[in-house]
Amino acid sequence: MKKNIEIEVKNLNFYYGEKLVLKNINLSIYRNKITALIGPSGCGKTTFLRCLNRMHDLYVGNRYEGEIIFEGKNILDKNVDLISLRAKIGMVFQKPTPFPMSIFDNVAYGLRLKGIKGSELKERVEKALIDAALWDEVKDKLRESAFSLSGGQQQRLCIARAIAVEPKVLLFDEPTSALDPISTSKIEELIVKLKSKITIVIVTHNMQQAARISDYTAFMYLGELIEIGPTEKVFTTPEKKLTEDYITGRFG
Amino acid sequence: MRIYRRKVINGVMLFISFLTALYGLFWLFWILGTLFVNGFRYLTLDLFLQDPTPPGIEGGGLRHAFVGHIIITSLATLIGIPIGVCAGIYYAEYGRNSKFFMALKNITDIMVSTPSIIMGAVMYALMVVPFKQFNALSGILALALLMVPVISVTTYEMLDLVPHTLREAAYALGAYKWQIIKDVTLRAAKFGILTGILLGVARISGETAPLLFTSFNNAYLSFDLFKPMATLTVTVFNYIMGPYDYWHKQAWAAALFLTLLVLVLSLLAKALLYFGTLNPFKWKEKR
Amino acid sequence: MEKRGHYLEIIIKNFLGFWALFSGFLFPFIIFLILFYESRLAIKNFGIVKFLTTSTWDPVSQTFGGLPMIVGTLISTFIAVLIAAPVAIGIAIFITELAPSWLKGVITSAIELLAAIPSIIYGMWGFLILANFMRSYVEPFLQKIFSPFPLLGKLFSGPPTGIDVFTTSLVLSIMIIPFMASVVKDSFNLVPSVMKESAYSLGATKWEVIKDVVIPYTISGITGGLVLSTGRALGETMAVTFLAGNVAQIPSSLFYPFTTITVALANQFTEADTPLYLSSLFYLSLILFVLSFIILSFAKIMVLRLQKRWK
Repeated sequence: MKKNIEIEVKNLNFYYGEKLVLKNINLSIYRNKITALIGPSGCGKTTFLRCLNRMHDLYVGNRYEGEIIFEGKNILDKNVDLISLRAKIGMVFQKPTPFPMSIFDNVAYGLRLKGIKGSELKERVEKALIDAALWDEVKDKLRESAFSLSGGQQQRLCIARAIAVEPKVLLFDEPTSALDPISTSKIEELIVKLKSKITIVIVTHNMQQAARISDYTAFMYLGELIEIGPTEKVFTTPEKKLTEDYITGRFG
Repeated sequence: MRIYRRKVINGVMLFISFLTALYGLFWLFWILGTLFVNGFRYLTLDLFLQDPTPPGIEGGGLRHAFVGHIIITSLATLIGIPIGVCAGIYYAEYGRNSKFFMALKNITDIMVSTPSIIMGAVMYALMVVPFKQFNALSGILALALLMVPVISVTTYEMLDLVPHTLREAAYALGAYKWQIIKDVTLRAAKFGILTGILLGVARISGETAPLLFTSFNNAYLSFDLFKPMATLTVTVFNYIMGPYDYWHKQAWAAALFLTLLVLVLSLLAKALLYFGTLNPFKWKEKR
Repeated sequence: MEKRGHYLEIIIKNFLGFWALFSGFLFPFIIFLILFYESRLAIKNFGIVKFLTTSTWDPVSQTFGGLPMIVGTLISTFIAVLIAAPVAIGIAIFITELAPSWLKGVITSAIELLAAIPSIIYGMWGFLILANFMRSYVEPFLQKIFSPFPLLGKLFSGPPTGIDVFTTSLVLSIMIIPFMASVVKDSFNLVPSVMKESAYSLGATKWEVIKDVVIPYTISGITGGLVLSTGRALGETMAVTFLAGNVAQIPSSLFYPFTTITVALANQFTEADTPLYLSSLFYLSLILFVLSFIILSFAKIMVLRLQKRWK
């Protein structure tokens, strides 16, 4: 079992300035599985997600305690190379974030940073777009601005951009909350398909979504991890009363 | 290896950006430094209280220029404020949905940066040529016109920050628009508008170019608006260009005083803006 | 009571409206009309093309051509923007992306102070302090370095006096850095942080994020800031008047004295003794007004375009 763990979080505390916002989180994220984080807004699920690729380091006054083990090392160590860490643990955000460049250049961006050029670059961009189920829609307009795409297409472009660099883990921060139902279902399909290659952690405010796509579900409340387990079990026979109340909609 | 190279480039570029900030500070300290070193010694009571001696005879002060400067800037402010505030209120309260008036607001914004010497040339044609004599009034009007755009644009921007729901709430009580402006929006934006006024005053109190050929210069204390009148800035200009050493000293002192005045006004404006944003109606998104 | 409120509404609205119309339309329009009217004599005598291409400015023979002033204005502005632009962008990067928050406040205030100093202070400091320094140290040094090169050597030839194109442009550049930096900084702040985070999450370095995301996003704001400062530099008078030397010639080297439109106006308005002389000065003012109005409008449009995208 231990072998299948991609990321192991041990006794994680996180502070915004003086304020403790994540309290003693312990959990394992399994390889090639989808782990969903659910909980009411403000419970710390996005904050937790952003610990996993050290996004909080971009802002001053944030502090971590504890360990997050990835590839046998604690990524919270001071001397961890954030550049390569983030290339291995990618992220897709709530709103689509296409860069101000062409569709092709968007997907090629991370690859070019790694120094990939020429025909290999072209192949890998094409592969990423195919994997993101966007190729057929954009193959004739790769040179056009990424802003010309619809919201759902832009989001899939961002996924293509993230998987092009072949990360081991991909973090999704409410990736469909700004999209219509059709685009949402396309992206959900895509995420399920991706898990054969990539470990996925997804934050969602939509419990049905968590139930539909995830293998494991973690429920967080007020900065604490209340419960984690196989999705089916968490949704049908939760161990904690709090989880049950939340899932059955008994509190907001 | 490649990642190492990228990190080196990153470090070098960020260091360069740090150097540019140092470059800016370098000039600031050099300018303010020399200003203090050269000006502070001569910033005496006599400078404020004595009239100038005849050229070439050491001593005297710049009382005539201080008085003239106060007269000209304060009268210009009195004319400029109401015009600027009125225009700003109209843009924000009535003109918001009109393409025409929004275009005028943008033109006003452009006028903020118009060369100030142009105002001098216009006032020369309008006020100096007909009177056949340089006069203080033309300088006053030139400065007043110069501050109108500054004040109206800031007034507009500050009123624009007042949320619309606040106005709607007042409308719902059956108030007239002018009553809403008077009782709600102006009250909510008063610190902001005061900021605009201070910025306008700061802008004109350091101006020289529009006064060179309007209020011109005067070696004597004068209160006559239809005669030439001395100002600190024009006097500094003439003294620096002049041949006497003690003129240079007095000019340094006057320049230091002028700079401190403008800096204090700008700081006050900034402090007011800070209080203005403490106002619960105006919140800024912060990360 | 009802009626009174209604009438007051109409009166107040029209009163405010008049001043809005005044400051946005009548004011610039009247300036244009007056300058145009006052320059009619010069326009009739010299026309447009001839005035713009004649390089003789001679009150004795009553021949007035605006070329030296116009060229002088454009050259000094161009060099000033060239020096200021990279510095201003660097400062904006430092403030928005790099500085710890306490230093951010310090640098921002310092830059604001630099912007608040009256231009005559820059002028007198340049004239009494910087010009001497340039003459004794910087200019001879530059000459020594560049004289072996054929083209560059020419650019730095002539007696180093400190009162020349080079010093003028340098002071002008110091004056416009604050404006430029603050416009660029404001547009950098418009970039949503999630945009930058997406680039970081692909493993980009800070510089790569700035170069590939922040700058392309704000390119119209940056251009707007550059053009706005160009507009300001064009009309700057006092700093330039002290340092240009007021010689109506087209400078062939950076170390030659020259003149600009504003310098000519500041020095000669009170001396113009014939109607044609005065009218020619008004003609120069008209050219300056129209030129800066066009350039500033362009800047405004660029900045508006960026803001619209994020609203």
